Amino acid sequence: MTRSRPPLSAYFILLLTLLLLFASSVSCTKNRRQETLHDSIVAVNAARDGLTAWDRNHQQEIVDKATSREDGEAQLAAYRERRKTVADSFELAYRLIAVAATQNDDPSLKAALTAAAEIVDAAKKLIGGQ
Amino acid sequence: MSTAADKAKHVLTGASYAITALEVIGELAGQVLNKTSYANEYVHALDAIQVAVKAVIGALEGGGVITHETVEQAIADLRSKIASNDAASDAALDKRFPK
Repeated sequence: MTRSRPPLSAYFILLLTLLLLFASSVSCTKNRRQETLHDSIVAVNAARDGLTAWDRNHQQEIVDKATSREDGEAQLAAYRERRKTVADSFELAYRLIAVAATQNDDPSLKAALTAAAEIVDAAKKLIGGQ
Repeated sequence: MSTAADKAKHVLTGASYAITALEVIGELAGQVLNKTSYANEYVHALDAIQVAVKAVIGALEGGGVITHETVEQAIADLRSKIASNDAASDAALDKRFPK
């Protein structure tokens, strides 16, 4: 049975975009390193929670649509391989934020903020099926 | 410029974005629920709202010092949730196609 898919991907993309916009705008007004990093980790945490919530339902959809056990196992394995890249990037972003929090230089701050923005984008792409 | 004024501006800016985000999310959740009766979509809507609320509260609270323990806990949470999701879907596959 096929059904038109509700705009859930767009729905999560919009959510993550709004959260990132929210965090970055707050950062600009404060101009304080620790609070900027705090906002970044909040945005990354939000992206992480959005991704894991979507992941749970996406895997259930794969199981529901599987035509056999082998088909389900193969599709889950393929999906998890793509997800691993994003999960690893989350860990890198978190660690760069931690490094930036212990330093006082621009490069570490820039690296952390870039990584935070990139992982939110990567999560959006995975959820959007890219 | 006073710190109190900065803080007030920060909170007001954050609250404004928070309200906008929650309004949009609430509207989308309503659209999803009106278009479908699938339980998964309902879960998606609730999850999204929960994520937004947590993010907004975290941002408005501000201030906490980030340590290696903070990020290690965040990474552990990520791994734990992924492992939990994988176990749940493996169990669902076992149930649908018993060995």
